[in-house]
Amino acid sequence: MYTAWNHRREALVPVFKEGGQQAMQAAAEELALTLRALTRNLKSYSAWHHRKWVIGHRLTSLEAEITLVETLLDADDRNFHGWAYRRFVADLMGMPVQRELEYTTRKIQHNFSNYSAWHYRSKLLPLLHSEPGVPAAADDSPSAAAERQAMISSSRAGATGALVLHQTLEIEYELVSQAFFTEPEDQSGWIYHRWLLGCSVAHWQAAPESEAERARLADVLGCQLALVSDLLDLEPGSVWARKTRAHLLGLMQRVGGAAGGSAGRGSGGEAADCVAAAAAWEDLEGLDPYRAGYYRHACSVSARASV
Amino acid sequence: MSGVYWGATALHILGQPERLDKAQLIAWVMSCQKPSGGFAGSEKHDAHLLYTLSALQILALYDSLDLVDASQVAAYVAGLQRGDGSFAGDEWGEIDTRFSYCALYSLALLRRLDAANVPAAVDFLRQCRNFDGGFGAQPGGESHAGQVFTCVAALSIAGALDEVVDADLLGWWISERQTPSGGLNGRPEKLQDVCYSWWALSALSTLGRLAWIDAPALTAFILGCQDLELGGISDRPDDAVDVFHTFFGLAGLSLLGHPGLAPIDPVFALPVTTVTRLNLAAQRLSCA
Repeated sequence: MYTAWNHRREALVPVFKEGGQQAMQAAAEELALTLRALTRNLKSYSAWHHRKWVIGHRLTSLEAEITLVETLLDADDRNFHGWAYRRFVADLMGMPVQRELEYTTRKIQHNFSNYSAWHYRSKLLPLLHSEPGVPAAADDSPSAAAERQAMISSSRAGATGALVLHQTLEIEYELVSQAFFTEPEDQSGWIYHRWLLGCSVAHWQAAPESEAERARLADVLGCQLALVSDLLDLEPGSVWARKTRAHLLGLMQRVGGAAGGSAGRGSGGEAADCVAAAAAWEDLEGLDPYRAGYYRHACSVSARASV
Repeated sequence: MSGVYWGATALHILGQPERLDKAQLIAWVMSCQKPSGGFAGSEKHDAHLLYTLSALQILALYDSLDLVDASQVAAYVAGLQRGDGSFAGDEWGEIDTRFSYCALYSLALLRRLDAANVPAAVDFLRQCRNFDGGFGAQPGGESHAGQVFTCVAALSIAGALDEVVDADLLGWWISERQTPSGGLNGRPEKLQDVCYSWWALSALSTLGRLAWIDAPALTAFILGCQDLELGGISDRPDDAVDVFHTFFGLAGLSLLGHPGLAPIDPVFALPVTTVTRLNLAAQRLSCA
């Protein structure tokens, strides 16, 4: 099939180059054709690529593409081609990060199990504070706007390093707790939660000497542990809650260890955290035997860290 | 072309390579080479990186790589690299981390890795890394076990696994691909499928964390997908068999050390004997 699409593109190149009404008409026909192909097979790499190739010529409406891909994602909300296409069009349009974030919120609230939407949030959140709170001012020079857009595109694309703001993380912890209290055995929210914990840890890692950051992290971990314990009271059999608890205890062990004497915590506290983390991982070996190898590894990491 | 590679490699894993006629096979592969040096999926089709790698893998399997002009094929492959380090599948510019694997692996087979900008290729793969430790098809793309295989293997060939991959995080994410069926899925909350017995498992093996899933349960799942009358393996129990799933099922079993199967290499997806004969180098991690 890919060769047939190649032949079409060869024929279209001169038409698109010519421009004008004929080019716009030809582009519209290609979009109709790829839509028919995608309706038959939403996972066709070559049909999606052909559509991107046509759209890249900027002969047709981009807003219409967003509407179309929303309809496709309503029908198949985990289709990664559809999500990739949305990001492609959003980048071409210079779509505000806030609007994309709102879209993922809608998809998540419709279905907490939409891992694709949680994934996209992880790409968008680090961009939130790099975007102006108000629409670009009229005197914003084109080059400055282009530069900002390039930065947003590259970050949306996966550049790492930007810290997610504390207040943003608080909102995210709240959203994801709704997900795991609603569906405790769905992986999607829990994997996202683990990433959020990593984001919280990153603030401390960025300022390892800061007692304020360390205390703030200890507070976040304590709150999350209390939340997971509440869930375990309601759902004692939740393996995912137990995994998260074990992971949290491991993190607390690290943070507690770093406090040393200065925070007034004796070595007894650290040792207790270490024992608790190791015991939590050991429990999981029995509860979730498929992953026993991983739990043994995590347990040995906890044990080594305590030495 | 990829179908022929799957079938031929499956037969080698089964220890029955003589079931295909080598001379006929090689003649057909060479008939699919285009003037650019790249290979097409079949006669009368256009050249593409996917089929260029499959063709070279078949030639490697049959010790016939000397039939190609290495400089010409390497120039075709390296010519598809973009400024950001990514590789296009062909002249029409589709970008996908599968093509990064195809390109680096093809160049490694041709002993021409120096023809591409390997550090830039590594930077691009780093851009495709996600919050869960996995990798997507393009920057921003969701993690998928198929892309995890191609990115981990490409980084392994580039010798950059240790600088790009968080092996504990990714290994954990892959271990969570094993569902109660014993089979592996490709993304969270999706159905298991035999093809991930290769894609997810090979990456775990390269990361030195094969013990992070339950091997007997996965073995039982793959064996349960066999058609005991027709032969072959399907995606899930009781579905129709095909050469794609048959190869990935056998490859997974081989990685798990299933008796009677020749060992397969997790990075190069060829029998270990072939990889050893060609002296192909790749980085592997261990679980500290």
